[in-house]
Parts: sequence; structure tokens; C-alpha cells
Amino acid sequence: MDFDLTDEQQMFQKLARDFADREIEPVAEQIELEDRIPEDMLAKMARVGLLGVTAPEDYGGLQMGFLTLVLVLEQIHYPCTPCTWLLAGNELAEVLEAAGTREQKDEFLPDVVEGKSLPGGVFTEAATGSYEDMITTTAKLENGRWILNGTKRFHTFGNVDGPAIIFARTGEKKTSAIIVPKNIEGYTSSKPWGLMGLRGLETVDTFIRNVSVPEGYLLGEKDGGLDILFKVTAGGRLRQAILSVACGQRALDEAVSYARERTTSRGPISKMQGIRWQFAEMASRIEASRWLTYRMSFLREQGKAVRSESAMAKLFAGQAAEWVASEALKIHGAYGYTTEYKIERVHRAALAQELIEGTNEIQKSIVGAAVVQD
Amino acid sequence: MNIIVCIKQILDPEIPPAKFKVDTVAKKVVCPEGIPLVVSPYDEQAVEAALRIKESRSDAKLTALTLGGAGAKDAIKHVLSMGVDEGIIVNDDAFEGSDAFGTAYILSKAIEKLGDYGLVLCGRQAADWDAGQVGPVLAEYLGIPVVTVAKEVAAVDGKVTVKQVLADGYRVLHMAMPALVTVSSEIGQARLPSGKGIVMAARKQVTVWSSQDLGCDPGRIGSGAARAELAELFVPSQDRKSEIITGKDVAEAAGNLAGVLRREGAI
Ligand SMILES: Cc1cc2nc3c(=O)[nH]c(=O)nc-3n(C[C@H](O)[C@H](O)[C@H](O)COP(=O)(O)OP(=O)(O)OC[C@H]3O[C@@H](n4cnc5c(N)ncnc54)[C@H](O)[C@@H]3O)c2cc1C
Repeated sequence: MDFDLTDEQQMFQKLARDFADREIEPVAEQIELEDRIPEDMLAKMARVGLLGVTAPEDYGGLQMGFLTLVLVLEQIHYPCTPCTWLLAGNELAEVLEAAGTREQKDEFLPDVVEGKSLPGGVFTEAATGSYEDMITTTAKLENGRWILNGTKRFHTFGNVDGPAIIFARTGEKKTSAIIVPKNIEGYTSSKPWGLMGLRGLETVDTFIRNVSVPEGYLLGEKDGGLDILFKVTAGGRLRQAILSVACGQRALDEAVSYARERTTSRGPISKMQGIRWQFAEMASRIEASRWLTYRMSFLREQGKAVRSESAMAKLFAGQAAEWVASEALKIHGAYGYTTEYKIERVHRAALAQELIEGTNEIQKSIVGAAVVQD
Repeated sequence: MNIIVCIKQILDPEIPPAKFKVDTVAKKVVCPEGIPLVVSPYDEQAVEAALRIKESRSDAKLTALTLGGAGAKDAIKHVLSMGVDEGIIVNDDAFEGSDAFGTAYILSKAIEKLGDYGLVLCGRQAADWDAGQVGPVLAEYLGIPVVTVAKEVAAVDGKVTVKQVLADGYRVLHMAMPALVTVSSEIGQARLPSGKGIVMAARKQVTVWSSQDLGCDPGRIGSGAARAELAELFVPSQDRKSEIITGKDVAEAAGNLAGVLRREGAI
């Protein structure tokens, strides 16, 4: 078994780490306070190629594997900011690779890789949440065009120009995925939801009223939307898992540097056995999460479906990050509860991954079914 | 126009002090395990200067040159991923222990082998030993003019224009090409590599030349030829003392403080 990363993977990892240190970390507090990502962030990411890590070279991408993307995400999310979500171009590339036509890639991918447009994708509705059969948005084919109607919920960057993948009903219990350029006629968005953490992430409700797009904007087969959804959510789950790893690592690092400095009459608290044992627990869970996620990402890169495996990684890493962040906060004592220290922001960020792309319970149901095999 | 940038791989200057160890008997720095070497920051800035010139003239071709062992390839790949066109490693057991003169001699032989060039760029000093000798000595061996400690370098109409950092500002100097410039941190932060650069770098072959390839005179390389002798290598110990200065009032305490500072030679 060879666990070594390739030279290229290590170089991408370093590039992402240096980018996060240089461009994201210094503005992390500002993003939080202003509830806004700086406007030039997307262009900066595009310049170093972070928006097209997995996109094919023909479309300006770098055509690296899924594991490389995961390594990049881990570093980019270390500051625990919503900037990580700007890497959504990689997600679109993946969906188009799985189900897109050449024309769709030609039309949408180059702009996304260059940071000229920011893609979105929305399945969620007020009633769907964990239940895909509750979807109510409809798409009807009329005179060679899809006419869409409905309201979507929690659509990240649903208000920013770029292509969105909208899941809509195309028949009784039938769902299709259709590309809709955001902000065209009939497409409007609410103001962003106020979020507990990851402030600056623009997650909106999207109102779709007689939105009309060409027939060729259908992704994959008609009525094949759920197949696409299930195919891409495995990747989505691994992306969330690695964000958990990043949050956990950051929380631990914050706690260690605090413990080294917090001195009592018996010296720094980092010298105390109780604190060290806690660090040992935290570090062990993070390391286990990291390698579980790397391994599943590697398998995905090899073309394996990793449906339950990705759910396992997301569940374990998400729970680990939440626990680690919470313990790290407590190690800060009362200071942990103040906004003077970074740990409270890291803690809030760490909770997101247990909800996005399916809650823990949904992951457990997937893993449980795979274990019992009934 | 060919631009050659000399780069050196060093121990990361950002490592925590507790990880920095020296072997006082072998008189060598011990590289801590698991911490990769980095390109010396001034050399990265020399690469940045070269890349800026390349952006200003389409005929510029950049070659990075490094004298180094097993890890040298990482240094070359790093600068290739920043946008350098080609990389060359000179490596030979016979080079081991070369001092600044030996290193400059080896680099000069490699540059002569490369042939046609307009500009050689080096960092103002390597951020490990901070000697700053290789650049000027290399210029001497190549028989070309040199300006050290540059904050801006331009190459236009067969002439190199350099803003050289002075204690109280800078001066502008012109040189005929070929010339050598050592680049200082005032040039600004070196750019990050790009993903595209990383992909391209992985596809590029790195040339490796030995002492024989360069036709080096064995009498001028290695520890035997070193003109400088390292007498001792140690991590200086820092003693901290604290003394509470008192007095019957603030004025007397201040007077006593001044007395102590004078006694210690601080003022
Ligand atoms: C910041 C943010 C950004 C988002 N961005 C997007 C986006 O861009 N696109 C998109 O489509 N969606 C997005 N979402 C939505 C997210 O994916 C959904 O919120 C998530 O899938 C959970 O759905 P829900 O909130 O409706 O939970 P519900 O399904 O209502 O679940 C509520 C609770 O019931 C539990 N539960 C439900 N069913 C079961 C069961 N069978 N067994 C046991 N327990 C169960 C759940 O685990 C949970 O604890 C985003 C969410 C957030 C917070």
C-alpha cells in the first residue's frame, strides 16, 4: 500500500496552503464582520487555477484527479471562511463530466474556470430537505424549450450570475436536472439567509416563474435527475468531509497555541496531562477523518461509486470536527466564548458540514443499509 | 534573450526555533525530519524579477540553475511552476563542501555551457548563511558587470536598468548586457505558482550536469578548494536576566534605570 501523495499533489497542496495564508486568512475576520466575501477573491482564485482543478484541459482546466481537489479544499478551508464555496466551478465540471454534452461544456465551463461566472446547483426546496420525492418545481417541454416554475431553498450563490443546475419534476415521481443561467427573465432570488457561521456565504431562495431555456440545457437523460444527483452527491459528501477535517485541524491548532500561552501558577496548561490527553483524542480523530476521506476520494478518483463509503467519511469527519471544535473552545476557557478569539468562528463553521449535502441521520441510513445489505 | 536565475534550496527560515539544530562536531546544520527544504526567499524574488521582465518582453526565456543534491529537483519544479521555462541542476559528489568561491566557479561553468545569455539574476544572499558572496564572485568569474541589492530590474534595448537599494533610498544604474544583478526583498513578494504551472512543470525534463559535464577544474571545487574555513558552528545561547529597578520616587527610579543601562552598555 502506498500512502504517499505524488509530487504534483503535494505541489497543489502547497499552492492552496500558500494561497489561503496569503489571500484568505488576512481577510477572514473582515469577511465575518462585513458578511461579504471580497469581490476580487474569485478572480484571485481563477488566476492560480483553483477554479478548474478537475475540469478538462480543453476547457481551460487542469484535469487533475478528485483527490487533488480534496487536498486543495482542505487547505483552502483551513481559515474556515465561506471563500471555499467559490471553488464551485470544480463541482460543475464534475457534473458536466458525468452527464453534460460537449455543447454544454463549451458554453458554460470556460467562463466558470476563468472566474467570469459562478455556478450553483439546487435540489433543496421547503419540503424536500432529506426527501427527494417531495420536490415540487416543475419543468415542461414546450416548443423545444424547457419552461420551469417553482421555488428553491438554500441555493448557495443562487443570486450570482452563472449557470445553475436546477432539479425539477418532469413527470409523476420523475425528476430531471436542467441548466438555468441565473438571473434571466423570470428568475429572481431572495436576500441571502442570515447564517450562524460562514458569514459571507450567499445562500438564497430562488423564485422561478416561467423561466424558459433551450431544450439542449437538459443534463443527461430526461427523468434521469436523481441518477445524476446520486452520482454527484458522493463527491459532494467527500467535499464536506474534507471541510470537516480542515475545521477540526484548525480548531486543534488554535487550542494548542492557546494552551501553550495560557499560564497558571503551575506553568502553561499545555503541560497538564488532562489537556494533553484531550489533544491526543482530538488529533487522533482528525487524522482518522483525514485518511478515511483521502482513501474514499482516491477510490472515487479510480471511478468507484463510493456511495456508502462517502457517507461514512462525511458522518465520521463531521462528528469529529464538531466534537474537536467544541473541546477546543472549552480549552480556551471563557475566552473561547468571546469574539476576541478565532475558535468561536471556527466552531460555528465546523457545524455546517453535518447539515449540508445531507444530515448525519441520512448518512447513517445510507451506511446502515450498506452494512445490513437488505 | 536568455535570463538565468540562480536559486538555492535551504532549510525553511520559518521553522520554529526549537526545531533548529546544529551538529557542532560535523559543523553542519541538521535538517529536521519531515520538513521540506524551500527555495531561499531572495532567490524566489530573483525569479519574480525575471518573470516581470518576461512579462515585459516576449523574447525572454528563463532558465533556473541550482547547485544541489537529491532535493534540488523540488526547487526547480517549484520555480518552473511559477513560470520559469527550464531548469538545470548541477550535482556531483565532488562539489560537496565547496565554499562561495567554489560554488560561484561551478555556476560560472554551467552558465558558460549554457552559452548565450543577457542577464543573470541571483538573490542578494541565501537566507541560511546570509553571506551574499556567490552573486558578485560569479559575475567576476563570468567577467560581466554586477549590481547588488536591486529593488527593480528592467532589460530594454540591450541595456539593464537597475534600481539599487541604498541606506537612504535608491539609485538608478545602467549596465550593458550581459550583466548580473542580485535581487533584494524590496522587489516585493514573489508570486504564487499557478495550477497550470504545476501541471506544466510535471511534464518538463530537468537537465542534470555533473562536474565532468561542466569540465570543472578539480582543484577549484569541493572542500579541498575552500578558501574559507568554518571554525565553529553553534547555536548561541540567550540568557535572560530580570532586574526590578526601584527608587523612592519615579524620578529616582528613572535615574537608577539610566545608571543600569549605562553600566550594561545599552546607552
Ligand atoms: C449553508 C447552507 C448551504 C446550502 N446550500 C445548498 C445548495 O446550494 N443547494 C441545495 O440544494 N441545498 C443546499 N443546502 C440545503 C441542505 O443540503 C439541506 O438543508 C439538507 O440536505 C437538509 O435538509 P433539511 O434542512 O430540509 O432537513 P430535514 O430533511 O428537514 O431534516 C430535519 C431533521 O430531521 C432529520 N431527518 C429527516 N429525515 C430523517 C430520517 N429518515 N431518519 C432520521 N432522521 C431524519 C434530519 O436528520 C434532521 O435532523 C444548504 C444548506 C445550508 C445550511
